[in-house]
Amino acid sequence: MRSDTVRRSSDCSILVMASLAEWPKHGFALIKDIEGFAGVKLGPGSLYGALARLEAAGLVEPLRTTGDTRRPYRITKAGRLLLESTRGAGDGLRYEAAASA
Amino acid sequence: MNRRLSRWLLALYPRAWRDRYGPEVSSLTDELIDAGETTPMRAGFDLTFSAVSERGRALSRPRKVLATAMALGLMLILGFALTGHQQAGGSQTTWTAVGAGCAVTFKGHGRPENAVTFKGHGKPQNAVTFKGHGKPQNFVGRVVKGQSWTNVAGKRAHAFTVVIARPKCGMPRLACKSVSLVAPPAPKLAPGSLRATFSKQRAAPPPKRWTVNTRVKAPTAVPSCVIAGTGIQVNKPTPANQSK
Repeated sequence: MRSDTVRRSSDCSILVMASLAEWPKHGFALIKDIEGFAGVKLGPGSLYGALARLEAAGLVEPLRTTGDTRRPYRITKAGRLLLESTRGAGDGLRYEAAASA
Repeated sequence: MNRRLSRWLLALYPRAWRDRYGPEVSSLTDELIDAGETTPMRAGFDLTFSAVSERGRALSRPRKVLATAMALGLMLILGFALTGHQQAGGSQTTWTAVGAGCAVTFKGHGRPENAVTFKGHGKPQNAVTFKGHGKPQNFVGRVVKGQSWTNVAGKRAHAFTVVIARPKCGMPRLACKSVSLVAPPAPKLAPGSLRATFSKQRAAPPPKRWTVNTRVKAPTAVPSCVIAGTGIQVNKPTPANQSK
């Protein structure tokens, strides 16, 4: 993925959705996965800022856990549709890594 | 990262965000530092910048509410400033009080804590200058007393006691504050001018009539003789004269 084609304001959300498109992950796994396929190392604040925005928009949702602070998140149908439409539009973003995964 | 520092940085986030994601962020930060994925300084910077971003987002969300509140605040400030300017003494305010059988008109100047000068009409019909302390905007009062009268420079001044009422609350607060209105000092007269003083003059008491009950004797004839050659008349000795 070319990081220079991704605008900073929305790339975190796209990367998080792309990562969650495979399977549900918690914060640590998300950071490691995004670093693996996009080469971007997100901080905890950036990651949870993106997760909060996505959750407020109904694009991701937390999975229920019992008393564990490592709460996993998964993408919703709306989030998956949005991700697909973004891929289709091209939009300067390349999701080669995510698609290959 | 130090837990205390982590908690302090999380306090920078909006409360709702902190309540929802705070434990997860704190746990993830510790986990990343323990795993050597990030350094405490880098994590701290990331949390700080994210907190600023979230704060800005939280402020921009209720933009309409914020704009309405700002407009209301501005209107309040403007209204207060205009009212304060009017009360600050730029313009003269006329207050009217009616009561106790006479109407009194006040003209007030100045700030509330300053002395206020009033002009009154009424009983007596002469214009009287008063000095009072208090809030001029509250001088919608009632004249409840008007008994003492004094002569000041040929004019009759009237000492009024005004019970101040607050017109804003609708119901006058009697005995909220009373102002004694005193007459001004007598003006200095130029030399040679006539000073008119007024004072009551008591009518002179009627003259007393004295009645004398002594008996008045009729004058008695004294025998006399004329010394020859001198013309001097000498009374003749009487028995009373001889005894002396």
